[in-house]
Amino acid sequence: MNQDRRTFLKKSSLTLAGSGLYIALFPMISGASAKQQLYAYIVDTEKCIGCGKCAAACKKENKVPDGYYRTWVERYSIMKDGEVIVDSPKGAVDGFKPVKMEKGKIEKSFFVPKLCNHCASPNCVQVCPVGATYVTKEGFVLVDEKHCVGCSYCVQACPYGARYVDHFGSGVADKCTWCYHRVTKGLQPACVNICPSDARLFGRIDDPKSSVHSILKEKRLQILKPETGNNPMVFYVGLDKEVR
Amino acid sequence: MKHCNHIIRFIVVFIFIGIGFFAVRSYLVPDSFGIYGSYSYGFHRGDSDAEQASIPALYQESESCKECHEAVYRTWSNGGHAGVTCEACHGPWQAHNENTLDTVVKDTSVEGCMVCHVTLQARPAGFPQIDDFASHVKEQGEEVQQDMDCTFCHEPHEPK
Amino acid sequence: MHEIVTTGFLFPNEVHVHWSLMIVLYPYITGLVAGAFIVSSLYHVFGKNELKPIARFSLVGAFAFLLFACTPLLFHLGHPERAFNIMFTPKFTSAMSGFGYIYSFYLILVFMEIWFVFRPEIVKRAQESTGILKVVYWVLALGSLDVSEEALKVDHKFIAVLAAIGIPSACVLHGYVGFLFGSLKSNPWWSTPLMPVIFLLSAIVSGIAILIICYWIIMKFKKQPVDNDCLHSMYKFLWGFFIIDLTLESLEVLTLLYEAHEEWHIISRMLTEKLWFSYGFLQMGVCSIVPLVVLGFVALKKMDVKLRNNLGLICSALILIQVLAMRWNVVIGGQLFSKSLRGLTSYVPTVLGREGLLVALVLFAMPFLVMYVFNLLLPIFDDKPAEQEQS
Repeated sequence: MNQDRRTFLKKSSLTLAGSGLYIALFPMISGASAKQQLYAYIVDTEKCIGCGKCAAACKKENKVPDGYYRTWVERYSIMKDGEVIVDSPKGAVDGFKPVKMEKGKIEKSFFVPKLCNHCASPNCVQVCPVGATYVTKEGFVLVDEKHCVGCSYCVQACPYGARYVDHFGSGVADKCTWCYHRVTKGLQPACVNICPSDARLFGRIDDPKSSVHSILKEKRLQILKPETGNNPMVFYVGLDKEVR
Repeated sequence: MKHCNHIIRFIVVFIFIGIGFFAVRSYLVPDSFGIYGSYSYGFHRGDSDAEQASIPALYQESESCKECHEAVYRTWSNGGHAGVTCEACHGPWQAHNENTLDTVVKDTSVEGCMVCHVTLQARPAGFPQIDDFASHVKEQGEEVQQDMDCTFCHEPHEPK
Repeated sequence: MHEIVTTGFLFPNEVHVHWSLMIVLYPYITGLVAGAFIVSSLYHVFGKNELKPIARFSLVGAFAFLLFACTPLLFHLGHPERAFNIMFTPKFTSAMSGFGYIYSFYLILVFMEIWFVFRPEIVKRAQESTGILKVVYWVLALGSLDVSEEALKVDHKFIAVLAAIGIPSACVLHGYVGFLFGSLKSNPWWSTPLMPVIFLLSAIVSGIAILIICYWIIMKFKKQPVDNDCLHSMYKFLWGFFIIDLTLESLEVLTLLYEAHEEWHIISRMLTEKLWFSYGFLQMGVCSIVPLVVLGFVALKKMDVKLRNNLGLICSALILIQVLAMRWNVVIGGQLFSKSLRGLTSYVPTVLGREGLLVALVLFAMPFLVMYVFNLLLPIFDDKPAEQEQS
C-alpha cells in the first residue's frame, strides 16, 4: 500500500471513530434537559406543632419499615448557655413528650420537619451506578425498586439523611417520593394532607391557586445545606441557624 | 504473523464472550430503559414511572368523607379544628372498606388529644396547650370525675 | 446483632451503618491486587531484575485476589442477583459504575499476561501429561502448541505491552475506589482530592508487604533459600512508597484539623471517641511509626541478612495491619458521625451472617487456596533456574 492511501485510511478511520464516539457519548455530554421542577414543597417551621402525625401517616401510607423513616420531625432546644439539644424520638411518629428540664433552662425551642428534598441536581442520582434512581420529568426523585441492586451509594451521597436501605427487608434503596402515587391522582402527599397546622405545603409552582404559590412569591425562604449545590426543592420558612 | 496462531485463537475466544455478553444483555435489559431528560438525571427504566403512579393511595382526604357525613363535615369545616383533616384523628378512610363503622378510629382519650395539645416549649406560643389534664380541669373550676376526658367540655368537631 | 450505641443526635436513617465490613474488605483486596501487579511490573517493565524470583508469583497472587475481589461486594448488595445491572445499564456519572468494566478488563488483562508467561509450561505439560490432565492443559493452550523462538519472541512483546498497560489499569482499578469516596461532597471525612492517591499508595504498600510475607512463608515451606537481593529490593520499595503514603494520610487529617471547618468538631470527636484504637493506635501510631523507622534501617543500613529479613517481615505484617486499619477508618469512620454534625453512632461487625467476620475471613483465605491449586497445575516458582529462558 502506498503512503498516500495509508495516510488517507488512517485519517478517515480516526475521523469515523471520533465521530462514532461523539455520537455515542452525545446524550451524556449534551445534558439535553427535559428536566423541570414543576412542584415545590414548603415547610413552615413557625407553624409546626410537633404532633408527629405526618411521620405516622407517611409510615402507614407507604408501609415504611420499622426503624427507617421517609419523613421525620426534629425538635431543637437551645439552652440559655448556648448548648443545642436536638431530638427526634422514633422520628416523631408518636409525637414528642415534654423535655424533663423544660421550663427555665430553654431559651428557644422549635420543630423542624424533614424529608427528601427532591433536589433539582441531586447527587444521589448522580452516584447511582445502575440508573435505578432518577428524576422524573415533573421533578420527582424516585427509585426503581425493580432495578436497584442495593449498593447504598445513594444513601451515602444524600447530604440530608433522607435515604435508607432496609437490608433485612426489601434490600433496595427507599425514600420519600413526595407521594408520587397520590400526586398523580390529584391528591396531596400524605404528610401534607394530615398536617393540622399548615406547616407542610405542596403544590405546583406555576399554579396561582396552589398553596405554595403565594409563599414562594412573598416569603423569605431558606434551603438546607445550600453549599452542596444540589438545589433542593423543599423550601423552609423560619429555618434557624442551628439547623443542619 | 506466522507464529501468532495462539494469539489469534485467544482473541477469537474473547470476541465470542463479548458477543455472548451483548446477546444476554439485550435479552435481560427491559426495552423501556432509556434517557429521559438529561443523561445525568434521567437515565432509567421508563416503565418505573407508571408502576410507581399506579400504587393505590391509602388516605383519601376529608372531601371523601363529605358524601356520607354531610352534617358533621359542615360543623367541622366551620369549627376550630377545620385545619385538622378527618383522617388525622379517625385514621385512613380505607378502614371504611368493609363498610363497618367499627374499624374507624374514634379516640376520645385524653392521650389522643394531648398528642397535639400538651404544652411543649417548642410549640408556637399562640397554640392552645395545657400542662396536664387534671390541672387544666381545676383551672376551669371543675372537679375531675371518673372516666372524664376532654370531650366532656370540648366537642371534637367544634372545639371552641 | 449488636446493640447500636448512639450519642448526640443523628438523622433517624443514619443510626444504622450501611457500608459494613464487606466494604472494608473490598478495597483491601483490590489494593493487594494493585500492589502485587506493580511489583510484577517493576520487573517486566522497569527491568528491576533482582525482582525476577517474585515476578511470576506476584502475577499469580494478583490474579488470585482479583478472582475474589468482587465477592465481598456480592455479599453486601441488597440484590446480588441483579449484580450484572452494573454492566448492563451502567450510569457513567457514577464512579461505581466503572467497576463492572474496569474489573472485567483488568481480570482479562492479568489472565492474558499469566497465560503468556506460563505458556511454555502449559504447552510442555500438554505434550507430556496423559488422561484428563492432558485435556485440561490442551484447552488452556487453546490447542496451539507452538513454542518456537519466534513465537516466544511474540509472547515476550505482548507481556511487556500488557504489563505496561496493566500499570495504569491497576491504578484505575484501585484509584476509582478512592475517587468513589473522595468525590462524595456530602461526607466531609471522605471528600478530598487526596483520597484516590492515598488509596493507591496504601494499595501498593499492602501489595508489596503481602508478597514479602508470602514469599518468605512459601520458601520456608519448600525448604528453599530466599533470594535476599530480591527481598532487600522489596524492602526499599516498601519503605519509599510507605513514606509517601503516610505523608498523604497525615496531610489529609492535618488539613482538616488546621482549616477547622464546621465538621471538624464532630470528626475529631469521632476519631478520639470511636476510632482511637484503629486510627490513633494502629493506623497513625504503632503500625506506621515502627515500620517507618525500622524499614529505614533495613533499607539503608548494612546489617546481618537474617536480622534484616526478620525486621522486614515484622514491618510487612505491621504495614498489612496498618492498611487494613486505614480502610476500616475511612469506610466505617465516615459513617460513624451524623451529617447533622451533632452525633455519633457505633458499628460492630457480626460474627456470623452475610456481612460478618466469618465470611470476611473465608473470602480472604480463598485466594490462597486458588494460588495453591494453581501451583499444582502450573508450578509458580521456577525450581530449575538454569533451564528455560523465562520471560
